Amino acid sequence: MATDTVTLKIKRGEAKGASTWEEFKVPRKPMMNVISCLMEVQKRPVTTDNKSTTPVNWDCSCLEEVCGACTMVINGRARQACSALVHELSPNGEAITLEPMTKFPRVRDLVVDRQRMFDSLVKTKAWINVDGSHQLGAGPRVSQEDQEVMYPLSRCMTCGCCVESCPNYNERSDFMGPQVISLARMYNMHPSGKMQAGARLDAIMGEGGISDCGKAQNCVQVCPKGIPLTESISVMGRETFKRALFGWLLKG
Amino acid sequence: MSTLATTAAIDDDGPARRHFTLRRLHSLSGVIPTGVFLLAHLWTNASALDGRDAFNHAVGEIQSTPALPVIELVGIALPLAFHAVYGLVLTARSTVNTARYAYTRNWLYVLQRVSGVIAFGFIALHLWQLRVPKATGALRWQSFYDALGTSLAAPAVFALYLAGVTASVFHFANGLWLFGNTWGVTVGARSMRRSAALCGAFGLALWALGFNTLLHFSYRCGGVLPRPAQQVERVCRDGDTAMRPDQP
Repeated sequence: MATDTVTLKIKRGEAKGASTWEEFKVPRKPMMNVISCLMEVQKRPVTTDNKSTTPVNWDCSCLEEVCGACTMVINGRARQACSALVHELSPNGEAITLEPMTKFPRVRDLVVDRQRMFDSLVKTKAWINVDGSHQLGAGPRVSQEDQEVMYPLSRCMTCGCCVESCPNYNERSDFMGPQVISLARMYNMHPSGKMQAGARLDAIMGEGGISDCGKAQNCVQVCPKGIPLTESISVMGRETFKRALFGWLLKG
Repeated sequence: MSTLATTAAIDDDGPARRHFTLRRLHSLSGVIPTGVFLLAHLWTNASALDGRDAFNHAVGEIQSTPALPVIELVGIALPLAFHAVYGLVLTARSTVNTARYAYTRNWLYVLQRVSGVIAFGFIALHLWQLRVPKATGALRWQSFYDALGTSLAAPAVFALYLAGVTASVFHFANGLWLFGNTWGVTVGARSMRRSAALCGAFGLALWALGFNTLLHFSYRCGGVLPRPAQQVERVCRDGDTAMRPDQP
């Protein structure tokens, strides 16, 4: 235990224009996470070399790693700031670097616009239709076996770690990313979700869909929820192939 | 109800199908026929290890295949060209992030693209050296053995061929792993690890076969491993009618 301060190196910038790095030192307290460090910066936005600056912008909500809002690149790796604990990142006073995710348009400082991910949720109908003009009653039961597969998939919070680490998710490609492929798998397993199974398969067979995956498999390494994303991609690879091979036979 | 939804979705999905079909054809064409051809090609070439006669016999059998030009064009050249050109398009859309995410699979992702580009260049060169002169009549297939011996004796050519064979074999072996993954054959983490071991062993064996053949051509003509000068003269310069060096 070396220091009584935490050093933060933060990549800052506006929506457009160049980035600059600023370094801050904040008082070290027990069990700090990156969010609480950023709160200290907000209280006193003065850099290490004693220059007064604007408070650093960041996003956060749940503070328990289930919403994905505070995802940023911490020490070169995409993860949630709330579950990034200072005593683990910097046991001996090492500087902690904070950068915004690189795959999304920057709003300001560490805040990015993850709209591209939400758009792909819409494209793949990543939900279950339950609304109706009348009482639909209780849905069908899900078998224990299916529940055990579906539960880990349901933990996806669309945080962006998988696409941030994906070499095929970039501005030159339309790839939707592994998360929606995994969600399409989950909703296609659900007894009510199955009713849109064909439409979901069609969505992930199109441009930017499953075939744009390059199998670098970083997604499964960085996923904070431990979702078997590569398994989902392979399963859906088989399902989409079946649909491509036999689907045309269903045409009226 | 589900049938109705299914049919409706298919009706307006032409472009999606084209995209999917092209990508799957790219995956398939890497294995059949390109990969199978690579395997057969290295196997045939390895008959050179038994000397000129064995090599010429093996090549002669292929040359006597009926409708060979059609098979070469439709069965090999067109699928290979599609796989290569479409592969370059896909490579142009990828990025390298191994500095931040230094996982084995991520490195293999990069190597798959690098080896593809190297193989592309090597195959173009290889065709230019042997297939184009054969088509124009400048080089008969009966002279391939000596032509290869002479050119592979130069260390630079040997290095080039070694790089080309290594890249092609790696691309094929790792491509086989990707194929199983893409088509949903290997799904879970454990089956992926097992198929990686299998593909790796297969790749190493195939590479050893190719490397051995290259060494043979180079060795006979005094390239990498020197041989007595007189024998080198005879093997490399005497053309078709020369005696096999191991027979007095």
